[in-house]
Amino acid sequence: MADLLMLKCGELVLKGNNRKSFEDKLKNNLKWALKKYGRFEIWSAQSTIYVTPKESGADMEGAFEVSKKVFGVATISPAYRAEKNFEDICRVAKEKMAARLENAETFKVEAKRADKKFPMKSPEICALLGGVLLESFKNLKVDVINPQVTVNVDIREEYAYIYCEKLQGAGGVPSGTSGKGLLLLSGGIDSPVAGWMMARRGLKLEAVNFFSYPYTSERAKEKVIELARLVSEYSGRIRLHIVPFTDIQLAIRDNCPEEYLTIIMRRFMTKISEIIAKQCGASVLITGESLGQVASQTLQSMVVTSSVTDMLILRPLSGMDKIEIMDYARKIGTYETSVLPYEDCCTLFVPKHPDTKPRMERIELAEKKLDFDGLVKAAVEETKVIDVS
Amino acid sequence: MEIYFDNAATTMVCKEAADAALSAMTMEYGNPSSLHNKGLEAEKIMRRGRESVAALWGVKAEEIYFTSCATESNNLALSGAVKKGLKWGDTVITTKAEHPSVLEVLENLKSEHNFKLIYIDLLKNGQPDMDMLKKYMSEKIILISMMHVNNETGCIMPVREAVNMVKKASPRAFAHSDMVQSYGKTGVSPAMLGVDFASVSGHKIHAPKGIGALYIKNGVSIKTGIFGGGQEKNFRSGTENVPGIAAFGAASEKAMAEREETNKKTAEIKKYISNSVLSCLDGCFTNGESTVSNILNITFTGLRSEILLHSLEARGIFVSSGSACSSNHPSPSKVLTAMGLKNGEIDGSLRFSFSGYNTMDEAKYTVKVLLEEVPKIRKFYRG
Repeated sequence: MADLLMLKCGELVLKGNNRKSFEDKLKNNLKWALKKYGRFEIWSAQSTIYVTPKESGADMEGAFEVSKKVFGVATISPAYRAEKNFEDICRVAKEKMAARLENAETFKVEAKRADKKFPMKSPEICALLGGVLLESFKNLKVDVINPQVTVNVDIREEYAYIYCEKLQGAGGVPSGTSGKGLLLLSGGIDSPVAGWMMARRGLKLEAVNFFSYPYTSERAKEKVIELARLVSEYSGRIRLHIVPFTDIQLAIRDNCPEEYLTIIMRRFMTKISEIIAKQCGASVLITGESLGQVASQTLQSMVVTSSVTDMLILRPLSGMDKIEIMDYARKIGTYETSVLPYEDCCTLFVPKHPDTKPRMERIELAEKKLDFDGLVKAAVEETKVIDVS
Repeated sequence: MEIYFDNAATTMVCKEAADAALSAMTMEYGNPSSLHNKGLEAEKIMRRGRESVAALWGVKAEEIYFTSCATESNNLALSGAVKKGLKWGDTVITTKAEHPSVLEVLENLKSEHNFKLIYIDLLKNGQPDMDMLKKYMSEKIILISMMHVNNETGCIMPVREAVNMVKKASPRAFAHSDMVQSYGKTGVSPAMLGVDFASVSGHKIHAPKGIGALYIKNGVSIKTGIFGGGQEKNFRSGTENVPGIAAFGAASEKAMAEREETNKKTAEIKKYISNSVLSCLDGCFTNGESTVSNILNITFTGLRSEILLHSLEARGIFVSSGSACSSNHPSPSKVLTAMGLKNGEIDGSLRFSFSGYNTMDEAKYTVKVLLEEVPKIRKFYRG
């Protein structure tokens, strides 16, 4: 494994005067993510973050894998350190890049000189190192336009760094730089993806789940906690609020027309989420809704659902197809958990013929049969909190 | 409060078994194959365990081969018997009541070898259709495998009658019985059933998980099940699970001493719950006739048993449902289906299974909870 990781910050460089605070946040997030893998030194210079092990037991493989999940990182390059003289640069390049170069046909060398005191200029390093590598690897030809392998040499203050890979990082901006959002997390495929997307745009996440025991089981709850944990690998620690929801569901089922069950249920969820969001300092709600995916996600339904709150609701998946959402879920690693069974019993509360075009006044009239505020208050008071990471 | 009415799934390990295992792990921890005294100590523990298991089962100690569980016992016995019998026969008979550790093994063997696999239907009362069995009698029968007590309904199956019929038609045929739910409860031995092989497991009688046994009748031989160091008379190699065997033995001794008392107690509990539920709640019926005293299967129509299960769990009562409404087991109980129950009825079936540790107070509390919860849940039922 490499001596160190070089992480490029992507979009952060566009942040102008705020760049430092974004970069600091990113370094903090990295520090948190790397904690499990040993002690590392993390520092930045010229929009690159360097991660080097501080102890011999530090797990570089693990650090590499986890870095791929930290938002704000555009590319990751496992790199090797060389002394700042041309001989050592050649030695390291020949040794450490051998596996890649032996299997390639074309290559080029790219050099950058942050330390202008280094006696050779960048084009000179490229030309001379290129010559050395050509001689060592007879299979290679130079192609400066479209090379299969690019050997990068980065001359910095203390060392020269050599790498040839630039792997895609998680992209986005560091979690926590855009404020806090409360994710409505179910056990399904969509909501973890929605949370992941908004965390990628810099939101710190808390999550809320509605739990209808005994109509859903303890295992269903465990599944939601696991989903929150999977998302937290990207977003950082997530506080999960578990709202007891059975009484509300039974009250709706007892008192309201069947075709409105889902829409009224979602209005309760939204209202309760708003209150929890205000309590925990989140300024926005996040849902996994996708326009038209199911009856409760038609435009009319979304409008009627949203109208119980003034709070902004972000629906990052609203324009995506189910297939695309599933692809994302697979990519971020939540899919397998989302498709575990365990919660089919709550179909009990799904109307056979839901109203896909609910009208506000009818819904409000139906809700009059319930003590809406009282039920909401009781649910919020009974809510339990778990920190997941 | 914790009321454990799921003893057909597994049981709490009794103190006697736990002590025996602890002692075998921390004191007599030698390898029975070792020549020194430590090995001899372990061998003695194992011998006693074997004798105790044999005594409760009514077999000779040398007819017992320890395995890791009944599933392994079933695997070894069935594949050994089928492969041997294929030289002269072409038919294997089993029932629709069997556990997956029998059905899956036979299906798998069938996919690799060429033989007819006959499943005997179940009647409405949970008993196998013996008239159907009669129709398949031939001298080409290799094997019949019929469980002694069904794990879902508690039905005691007419194994002896079936085995007699088969052996009369095909004297060379092997007979196997999965006796997991029968062992320690019925007092019936493999010899009484007339079988050549029988399987049991420790964790259904208050021993820990990870120890089981296969009975192979003296004089019957099948090929080695697991190759290696030659343990268990070269049939099932692998260093013996001495703590498991010690615990299995201790639990067997206890079961032997308390069997009558336990059966009386569980019968009383079963009768109380069954009578109370049937008389106080509409739309309920029990499943299976000629059942053991410790298994009670009730269908509560008009609800989903998984929801009732969780409602009971919330009140500290642990039972099993005939089928999971989640798609973990997408198909409803095969046994109840074979008995002709409708899907809605299977959805509403719960199994209560008792042990000597249960009390009448627990039964009374459970009935009280059922009478409260069932109407509540039924109110929100949608078929």
